[in-house]
Order: sequence, then C-alpha cells, then structure tokens
Amino acid sequence: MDVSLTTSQLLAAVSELLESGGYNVVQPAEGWTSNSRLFEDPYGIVAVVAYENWTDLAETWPDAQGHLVELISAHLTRPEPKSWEGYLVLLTPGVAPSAARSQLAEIRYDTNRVRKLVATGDDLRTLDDVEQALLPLLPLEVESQLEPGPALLERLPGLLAARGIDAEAARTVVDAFIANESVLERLHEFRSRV
Amino acid sequence: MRLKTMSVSGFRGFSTAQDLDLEGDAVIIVGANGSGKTSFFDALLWVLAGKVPRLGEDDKSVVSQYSPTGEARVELVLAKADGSLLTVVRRFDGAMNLSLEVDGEPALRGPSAEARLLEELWPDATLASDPWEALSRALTRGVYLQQDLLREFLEADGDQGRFAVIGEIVGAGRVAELQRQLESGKASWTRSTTALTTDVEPMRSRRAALAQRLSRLTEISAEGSTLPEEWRSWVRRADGYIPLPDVSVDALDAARILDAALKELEALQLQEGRRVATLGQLLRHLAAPPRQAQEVEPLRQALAQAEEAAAASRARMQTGQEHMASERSRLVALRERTEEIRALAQLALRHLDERCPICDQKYDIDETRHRLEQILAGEPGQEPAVPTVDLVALTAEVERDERFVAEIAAGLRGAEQGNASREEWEKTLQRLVADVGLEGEDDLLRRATELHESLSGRQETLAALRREGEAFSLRLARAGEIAQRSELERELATLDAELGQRETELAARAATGELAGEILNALRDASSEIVAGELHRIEPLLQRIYATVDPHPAFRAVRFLTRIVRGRGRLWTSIDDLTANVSVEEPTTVLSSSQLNVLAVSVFLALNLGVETLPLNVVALDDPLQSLDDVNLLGLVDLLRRIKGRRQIIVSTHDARFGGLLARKLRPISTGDRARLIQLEGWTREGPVVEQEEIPVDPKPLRLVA
Repeated sequence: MDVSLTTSQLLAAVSELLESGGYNVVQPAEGWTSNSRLFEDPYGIVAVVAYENWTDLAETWPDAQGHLVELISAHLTRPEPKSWEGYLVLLTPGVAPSAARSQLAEIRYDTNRVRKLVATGDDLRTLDDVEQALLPLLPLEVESQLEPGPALLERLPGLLAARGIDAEAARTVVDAFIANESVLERLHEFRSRV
Repeated sequence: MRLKTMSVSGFRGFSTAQDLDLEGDAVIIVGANGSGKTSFFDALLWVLAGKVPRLGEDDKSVVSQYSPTGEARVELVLAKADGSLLTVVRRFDGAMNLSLEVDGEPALRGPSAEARLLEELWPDATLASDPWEALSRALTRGVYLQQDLLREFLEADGDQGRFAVIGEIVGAGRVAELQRQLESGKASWTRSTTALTTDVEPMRSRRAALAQRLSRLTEISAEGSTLPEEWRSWVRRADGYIPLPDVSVDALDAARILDAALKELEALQLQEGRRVATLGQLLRHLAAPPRQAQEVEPLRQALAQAEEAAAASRARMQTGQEHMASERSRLVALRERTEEIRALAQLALRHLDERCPICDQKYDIDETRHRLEQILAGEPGQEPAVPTVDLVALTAEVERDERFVAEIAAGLRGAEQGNASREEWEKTLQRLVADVGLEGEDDLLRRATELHESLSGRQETLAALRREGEAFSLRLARAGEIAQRSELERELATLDAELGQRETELAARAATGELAGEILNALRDASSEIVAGELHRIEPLLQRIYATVDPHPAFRAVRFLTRIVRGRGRLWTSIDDLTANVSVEEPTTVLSSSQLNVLAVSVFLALNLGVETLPLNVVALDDPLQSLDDVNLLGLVDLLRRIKGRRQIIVSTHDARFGGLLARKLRPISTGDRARLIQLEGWTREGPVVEQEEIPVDPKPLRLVA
C-alpha cells in the first residue's frame, strides 16, 4: 500500500533530524505559516516549508524564499558570511506531475538568494527519505557509515583458511611477510615442524 | 597528521622562497590558472613522496627555470595527532637530498630519513617492493585529488585497473605485495629446488654405478680362514726358486707381490724349459751320431783315371765316326762324277763326228766311240767299298767307361757329404753343449741325461707352483672382492642415507612449493575479496557523500560494483535510480560532466574518509570546482564544510568568486578553529605574489536564536 507522509509528519521528522544535527529551532516571525519551521546553526539559517501538494509548492515557494531573505536581511548585514548561508527546504508529500519536472529542476537549480532543497512525494515515501532530502544540511557521520574491521593483513589468514589453506600456514605466511622474512623459508620451516 | 607550514623555493612555479602558513582546518588557495596552484600541490606531493608522477621520472623537472640557486627545496612541517611536529626537507640540486626532524630529535638524513618518513606516513608502504611508489599512489589516490586526474576513478584504468588502484588505497596493495612476493619467492624456490634436484643427480648416478659394481662382484662367502697358512706354505716352497719378501697375506700389496712372484716363476719356468728342450735336443743329437770320416783322395784319383779312360774311349769313337763320315763323302763324290761322265759320254756319242764339234780337231772316232760305249756300259753298282769301323764296339766301350766314372763320382760325393754331415753334427753338438753349459764334460751323455731329468723335475715343480700360485691369486682376488664388496656396501649405505635425506628434503621442498602455490591461488581470490569487502564497507559512506551533494534528480544512489573473475577483481561505480529501478554501470553514459565530477569527488572523499590508515588527515583538492554547475558547486562546498572538522581541507580554485564562496563556507566558527586564505596573485619570474590571510572567526555565529 502506497502511503505518503503527511506534512505534519514531514515537519516533525525534519525538526528531529535538524535538531539532532546541531541546528537550533528558531521561532518563526510574523508572516511564516504553520507549515513552516526555522532553524539555525553557526553556519546558516534553514527554513523548511511543507506543502500539501505540488501545486501549492510550485505556486507559493517564492513567498517562502522572500520571507527567508527578509529574515536574513533583518539579522545579518550583507558582508557577513552567514548572510549567504540561507537554505530553503521545500517539501510536499504530493507527487509532482511529469509536466512539472522541469519546473522542479528549475527550482532546485535556482541558486539565487538562497539554496533550495526540494523533495516531492516521489522522494518522500518514508522517514528515511526525509533524511535523504536533508543530507546537505546534516553532519557527515563518518563513523556511523563505516563498519570498523581488523587490519587487512590480520584478516588474511582467516580468508585463506576459508579457501582451504591451513590456518597456521596462512598465519606463517602473513607473519613472515610482515617481518620482511623469506615467506617460502618460513613456510618450509612450518611444514618441517608439523 | 596535518599540514602546518610549507616553505617552497626553486620548485616549479615558486622560483624564490615562499613560506606558507597552512595551519588551519581549511586552507583555500585562490589564483588564476598558471599562478602556481598546482605547483603548490606538486610541492606537497614531492616533499613527501620524492616524485610527481604526472611530471615523469626526471627529477630535474621539478626545478624552477628561474631558481636563483638552481635547486629546488621544499620544507614541510606536519603536526602529528599528539601535537608533535615532523619536519621534512627535500632538496634537489642534481641529487635528491632528504632530511627529517621529528619533534626535536636529531635530524635524520638519507636512507634513515627515508625509512623514518615512510614509517611515519604510510607504514604499509614499507612492505611494498617500491615503497615510494606505494606512498605516491596512496597520496595521489587517497589524499590529493589532482586536477587533471579528477575523474580517473570513473573513466580511466579500466575495470581491473580501477580495482587495483582502489585496492592499493584500501590497503590491499600489501596483500598484492605479499602475492607478488610469494609468486617471486615461489619461482625462486622452484628454481632452487630444481637446482638441488640437479645436484642430486650425480649422487643418483653414483649410486647406480656403485650398485652395478656391487652386482659385478662375486658374492663369495668368506673363505679366508686357511689362507695365511697356505700362503706361508706356498711362499716357503716358491722361495726355493725365486726370492720372496716376508709378507703377510693380509698385506695390502700381497696380490701385487704374488703377481710378481708368479711372473718370476713363469719366467724361470720358461727359461729352464728352454734348457730342458735343449738338453732333449742334445740327447737326441747324441743318440744319432754320424758315420766315420772317409778318405776321398783315392776316390778322386780313381775318378780322374776313369774319366781319362772314358775320354779316350769317347775320342776313339769320335775318330771312327769321323772316318766313316769322310769315306761316305768321298763315295758320294765318286758316284756323282761317274754319272756326269756317263752323261757326257752319252751326249758325245750323239754328237760324234769327224771332227770334234768342240775343238774341231780330228780324232779316232771309233776309238772314241768304243771308249764312250765302254763308259756307258760300265756297272753302276760296282762302286768301291767303304772301309768300315766297329762303332758298336766303340760305343759299348764309351758306355762302360762312363758308367765307371759315374760310380766313382757317386762314391766320392757320398764320402764328401758324409764328411760334411759329420762336421755339421759336431758344430750342433758344440752349440747344444754350450747352450746347456756342459762344455768340457767327459761323459757328456750321462751328464746331459742327469741334467735333463733334474730340470724336467723342476719344470713340474715350477708348473705346480704356478698353478697353485695362480689359484692362490684367484683366492686372494676373491678375498679382495669380498673386502671391496664390503667397502662398497658401506659406501652404498652411506650414499643411500644421504640420498634419502636429500630426496626427503626435495620432496619437502616440493611440498612447500605446492603449498605456496595453493596459498597463492587462495591469495588471489582473497586479495580481491578483501578489496571488494573494503569497498563494500566504504560504500555507505560513498552513498552518504554522493547523496549529500545529490547531483542528479533521478540517479541518487551510488554503489561500488565489484566482481571477481578468474581471481582478478573488477570495479565499476554503479549509479541507480531507485524509484524507477534503473541501474547504470557506466555513469559517463548518463551523467553530465559536472555530475561526473561530483561523483568522482564523492568516490575520492569516501576513500579519503573511509580509509583510516592514509598517510595524512588531509583532503587536498586542486581546483575541483571547474566544470561544476552552481548547485553542485554549492553542494560540494557544503560537503567540504561537513568534513572540515575531520580532515584538513586544502582546496584551490582559479575563480576568485568561488574563492570567496569557499572562504565563507569554510570559515571558522569558533575560536578554536582556523582557516587560511592564500591568494596567488599573478606570476612573475620570481614566482607568484603570495598574499596570506587568516579567515576571521565569526564572532557571533548564531543570530536568530534567542
């Protein structure tokens, strides 16, 4: 069953993700609708707006951008680096029709004033999709992406043993290599011992 | 390990000395193309790895054409995680010079500096056959993304090459090195084993020869118990004939002495045998004496008289014969005259006339006629008789006389021959007597007989001694063969033991070689599996990085696609449209140049962040923003900001506007942070004009939050 997220769910997910990513919630000033949220971190200011459908998004996103620009202008002067760090996240559980694809791309590729991140119902089927849409704003958690493993040469004897090589022989070969000794000599000694 | 400062002089675009402060989480280098940005990264690579692969192998290529000293020098100070400093100085003045100072320790130079530098930067490289090449690869693939190699991961090298390159970065290069070492070691091992096998061949040949020699030696049971007594007995008996040294049968040269003795006995036997034969001849000679000597002179006189008488008889017979012949001739002539006269008479009768028809004289015709008629009437058979001689008697007389001569001559010859034979007999006798040494013996026959008997007895004894000696010699030989066999058996046993040991060792070496081969095969698979495993371990990070920039509206997922075919790994970077369930293994076919650059940088950053053992905690990007559209550029810069705390970012751009963007995006936001902006403003023969500045910390990062 194809169940899309509601705007409330989208906003809740966004808030949780950005707050956990180091963003602070900013109380919206006048002019911001209930379907929007504001966040700030040391680098930038993020406005998130969740639209009920694609049409709303397509028609009214410039308003949201205008509000964000005003907000930034109100708090930062132009030479300040942060004044260039506005992000507008436009979300909708509604699916953009095929005909609107070019408009969607235009919004995404429009880097004037603020950077726009756009995700529609096609991209927002699960909560994980919400995180995917917000990735440019989230910290890069390298450790969580990598499963630590033992050093390669340490793993080698096991891998060789899995291919039918005597584990001790495999260990002997690796040890000799690490010690910069003659691998064949050490292997021969090993064979002589056993 | 992070970069702290770098001093460059005479290197590539940096003709004169430049001290660059690199201490910061981010260092942004801005300069137009040709201003020295790439020279900066080359200097960084060169001081650490001693080479800049893209410039080739000629070390001179790094020296600036305008270097005032004619040398290139780069000094890099690195800060280790514990805060200690590592100062690397590399200088090329026709020869490469490296020195290294580790946090106040005495400076190292040359090989010890190289070894320490490798140990500090990339210990994995010390296991490589060319450690500097390994370090260079690790730096250029995992730390420093060169401008002109931006998309190499995606477009160059081929699927196997990509796999190998990535494998090197993730550490499987050491596994590959082990594989190479094992291959090389196995080849050497096999050669060595073959050589040892060849060395054993002479032993095997020697063993076969020994076995053959053994088989030729008669297998005789020891029969030497009575040998010494028999030897002594034989020596005693032989000693009477030939001189023999007092030697034991066990003596090493007993066989040689026996052989010499047998030869002497043989010689003696032959010598005495000849004497016995001569004696035999002498005895036979004496047994057949010649007749007594005969007087020949009377016979010669009688012969002369008889020959004289025979000659007289022959003379008489010859005279008689001659007389008879003369008379016959005369009678024949007479007969011829008579006939001629009768013919004339007959002719004259026909021509009788008054006058002589010849002389024309007158004559008495009648008388003449009568006379003629008488002539014609004469009897032809009435011839005068020939006087006779008794030739028969004369002949008988001659024959008798000649027989007598022959008889006397034969008697004379017999006498002469008998006398000659006797002389010859005497001479032979003297020779034989002399030969046997019996000159002057009165009773020659008795002495010769005694001597003959005596020597014949010795001959038998000598023959017996020789027979016994030869038999003894054979026994000695057999006894020697027994000893030799025993010796050979001992030698064979020793050789068998040594050969067995060698063959056991060879078998063990062969088994080791086989095991090495099995390990090698397993290693090929394992090596590829390790790389594939590492790539799959890093893959979520790649996906995360790629998705953060999110360059394509549809292909939003990326994977490392690995396959192992016949032990060789292959690598593709696959991008997926998960919504439409479309997967593309060749991103170049669907991504734009800008999107491909993002993908390439994503792969690079995933490796940089995912491989913890890389030489430096640095991400160095030489002008990665070229060909990026705005949204991807922003996405990439945002990504760099996200990894800034984890890696020192060194990034260059040719575009001052992007430089400003990078400075803003990578600015420090707390007093503990630091970011540097280095501007290379134009290039002269002295090098670029370098402006360095600190990017200020945002004094109040949060503006909206109450």
